[in-house]
Amino acid sequence: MSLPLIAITSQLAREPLPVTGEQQVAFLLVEARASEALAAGVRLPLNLALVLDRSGSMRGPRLQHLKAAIKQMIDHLTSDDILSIIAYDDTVQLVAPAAPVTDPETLGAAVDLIEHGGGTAMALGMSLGLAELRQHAGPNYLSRMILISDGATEGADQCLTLAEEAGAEGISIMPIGIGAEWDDILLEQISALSGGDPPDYVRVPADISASLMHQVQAARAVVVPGLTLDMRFVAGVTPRRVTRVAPFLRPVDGGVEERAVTVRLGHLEHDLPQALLLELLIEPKRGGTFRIAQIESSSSGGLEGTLVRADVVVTFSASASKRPQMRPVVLHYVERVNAARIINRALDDPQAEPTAIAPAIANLFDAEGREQIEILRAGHPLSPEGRKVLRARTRALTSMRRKAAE
Amino acid sequence: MAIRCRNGHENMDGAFFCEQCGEALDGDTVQAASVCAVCGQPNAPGAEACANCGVALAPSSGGAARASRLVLANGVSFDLSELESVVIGRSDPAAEVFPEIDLAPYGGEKEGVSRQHARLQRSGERFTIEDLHSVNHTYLNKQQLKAETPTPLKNGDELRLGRIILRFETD
Repeated sequence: MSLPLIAITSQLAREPLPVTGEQQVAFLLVEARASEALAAGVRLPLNLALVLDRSGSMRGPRLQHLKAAIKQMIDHLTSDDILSIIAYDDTVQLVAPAAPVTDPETLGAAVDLIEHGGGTAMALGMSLGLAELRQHAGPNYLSRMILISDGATEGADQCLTLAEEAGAEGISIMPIGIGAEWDDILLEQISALSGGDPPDYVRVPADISASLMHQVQAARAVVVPGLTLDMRFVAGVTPRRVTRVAPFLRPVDGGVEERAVTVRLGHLEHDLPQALLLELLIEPKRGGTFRIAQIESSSSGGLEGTLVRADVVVTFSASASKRPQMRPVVLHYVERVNAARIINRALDDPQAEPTAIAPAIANLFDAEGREQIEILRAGHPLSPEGRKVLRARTRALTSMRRKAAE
Repeated sequence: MAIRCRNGHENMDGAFFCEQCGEALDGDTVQAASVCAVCGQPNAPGAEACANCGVALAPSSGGAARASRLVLANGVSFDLSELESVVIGRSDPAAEVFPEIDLAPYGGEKEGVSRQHARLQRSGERFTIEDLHSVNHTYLNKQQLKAETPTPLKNGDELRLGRIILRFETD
């Protein structure tokens, strides 16, 4: 048997759990990390499709900065990498077909010729981007679509269908939203369905270059493609909610059943863990130590050493004198996941009564986030930019950052 | 047995925070996790190094900090030794913005420094710099930083905010 390349650990927010004679809720943090051996390993070459918005609203600084940023990104790819470039408005243009990056100058010249156009039909761009990616998708490349948008689009349903197809084929979509008018709910759904990271919010055009470079850096850090965690629970233990908490915060909608949870975590990077917070309903138990769950990891590439199993063992105590040990790391996530749910509920339902958002929640945010929360608490609507800011800050409540190269 | 928060919302036994409003529910006071300023990983209180990226974490108490400073080209120096987190920018009394390190007296406005340009944070012996969506960006050793992405600093690093250059020094 090969050495395990992934380490899986789990811990409850407090332990032992009390014997209460009633149903109780418990919070379990599950983390998966790449082993040192993997961190030093060889990276997969990239198969990237850059699908960019060239609609009328991109005219001027947005398109200028975007072109410069793409050329800078091309300079950081190698001839082992595949790149295709697709521009869409209400039509679609194949700026550069999928091919190894052997001639950056010719690619740059093609980018320079992109002109702003008319409306926005993102699905056209996504569909062509996916077709280009499929030419090389498979175990030999890390396949990703970088999807850039600055506004609302027609054909949102078609975009979601394409995102689902991409996810099923191991192609993740990484959205970048420019300005205040892009559809943050749609781009978040696209990334979630395809197994990509949450949208990167670029407020000013000059930041596009840093955002694209971040995409290349993130793709280069992947050591396990298509990581999946399967968890099975014993009778009397039911997963109620599952939330991804690292490297970013995102509720898990699908894959949660009565006694089992399957979460497609996507790609594991060498320097960032993947972590889940599970809220478990536990039926009355007697005192003692029990195995309550088994966790198993696997990867889409079938990489040897990524099949790892771990047991979750929990102690229940009826003794009032035995004080439970509290785990601040798990509580950190419990507090933030709860805060994110409350904020998102307020953002999603503008008709709701002014929400009683505890001051402690606002304190988890920076000044800009707090300012938006105050507006929500007063029952006023947020501006489009205010919503973007608060959603981005909420997504960032537990997010982790790659250690920058020194 | 249900637990009620102080706003009267009912929560399940075992909950730590109210699902409706986020208030902490009655229970033991727990020391907060020590969040790594570099990668964002929460760590057990009192941990010396980050469990994810390994950088030194701020000691929970005591410990003399090393002397660290930011130095302008004209030799003016800002002492960082006592600070955990500071904003560098230029003061604007009309907007009631007063950053801890104020570059207004050194031509901040003319040289393109934003009111709240960048944040410098200490985590143990380590410092990070983070651009705060400044208009003219923050550059570390001539590389533009991505906004809201703390990046580690080492002795002798050159920071450029707008057109103002600062050198980071630590003993």
